[in-house]
Amino acid sequence: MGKVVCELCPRRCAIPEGGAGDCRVRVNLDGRLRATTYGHPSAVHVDPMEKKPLYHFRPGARVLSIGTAGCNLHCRHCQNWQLSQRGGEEMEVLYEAPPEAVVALAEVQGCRAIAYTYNDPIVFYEYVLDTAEQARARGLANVLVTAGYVNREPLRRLCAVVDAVNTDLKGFDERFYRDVCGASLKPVLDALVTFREEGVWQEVTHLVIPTVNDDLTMIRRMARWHHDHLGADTPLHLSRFQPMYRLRNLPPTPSEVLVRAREEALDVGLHHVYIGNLFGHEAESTHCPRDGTLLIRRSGFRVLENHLTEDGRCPVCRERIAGVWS
Amino acid sequence: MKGLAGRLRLHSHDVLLVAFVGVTLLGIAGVLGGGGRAVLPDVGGSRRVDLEALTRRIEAGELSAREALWYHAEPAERDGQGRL
Repeated sequence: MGKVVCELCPRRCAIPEGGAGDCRVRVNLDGRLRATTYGHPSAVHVDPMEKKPLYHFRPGARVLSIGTAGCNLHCRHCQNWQLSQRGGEEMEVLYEAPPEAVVALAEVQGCRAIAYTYNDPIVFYEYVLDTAEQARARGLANVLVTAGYVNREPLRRLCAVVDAVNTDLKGFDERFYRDVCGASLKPVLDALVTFREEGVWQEVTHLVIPTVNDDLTMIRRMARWHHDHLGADTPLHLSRFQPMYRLRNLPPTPSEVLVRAREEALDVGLHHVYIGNLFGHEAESTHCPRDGTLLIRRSGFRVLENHLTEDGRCPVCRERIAGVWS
Repeated sequence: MKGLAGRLRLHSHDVLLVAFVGVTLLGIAGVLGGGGRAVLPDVGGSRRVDLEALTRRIEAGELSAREALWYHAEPAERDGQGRL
């Protein structure tokens, strides 16, 4: 038996018989590539939509969130490294949850959507695809939380069953992606554009890590690219770093750094720039970009007030606010 | 006029210390010059997997042998006699 070449992500791993891809969970057995975590998540939780974070997609909705072992990135600050940096055979917890069971559980739990999250859902692509098709048939939405490190054709096929995505844009230079994430930037930018082209509702998260990717000039360049390629109405979440995994030597992001980064992004013309993981900050809330009216007031992951009209407009100036509100 | 060695009166343990410091500095320069690139694998790699554990957990129904999408088999390499 020979090697197989995985064409799912830009790594294009050439995997010998009995070996795994870089993601640890796509394994060559008997000359065929196997998706070993299909139907076997290691994390299953009910979260609010705001925790993904998605602020312009069905506010306050409950989301059944699933994740498996493995990941095709190796971020030194990973929040879920116990899941993402292990193969399936190394996991203590492996649930048996085929697609129909996930959909049934979402319905029993009163969820309006299923999120594929925690590790990168690209590495459990087939499981996402099958579950998402069944979820959609039952009227549930599908949400991806991803780093966007995926090849274009597999992504286009996935977009057909995905309603919303939060894509991590972890930095804005190749060196950062190489040294901190073991990946590269260009495919991520391509994925961001593909999501927009395919009509998937998209929000972008940038985790601001002190001394690593908090340079305001870089953030301004990133925001400019975001404005020009994704549009001013695509929300940007600037998220606060907490010491984690291999970057425990760094402090949490100071709030003033997040505020200044937000000012840079607003200054280049983005309409919705949020600060995340800094509970109680006013930049958790949504305002009308036209007249500044408070539209949705949040605290943490909770929606405290929602003043949007039923058709998603500012109640004062009638400006249409980008998002999926119903 | 005395030579430098005469003035400093280097002993063997001094020479060893200087050599040790020099090797250490060269090592540091090597790591900095390389940008720490060797920390993570480059694209296109593969990983070893604990096949025994994986097979056991697949057989127990805890993991799956579901065939993946988006891959192709590489043509087998020929041996010295031209056999596949």
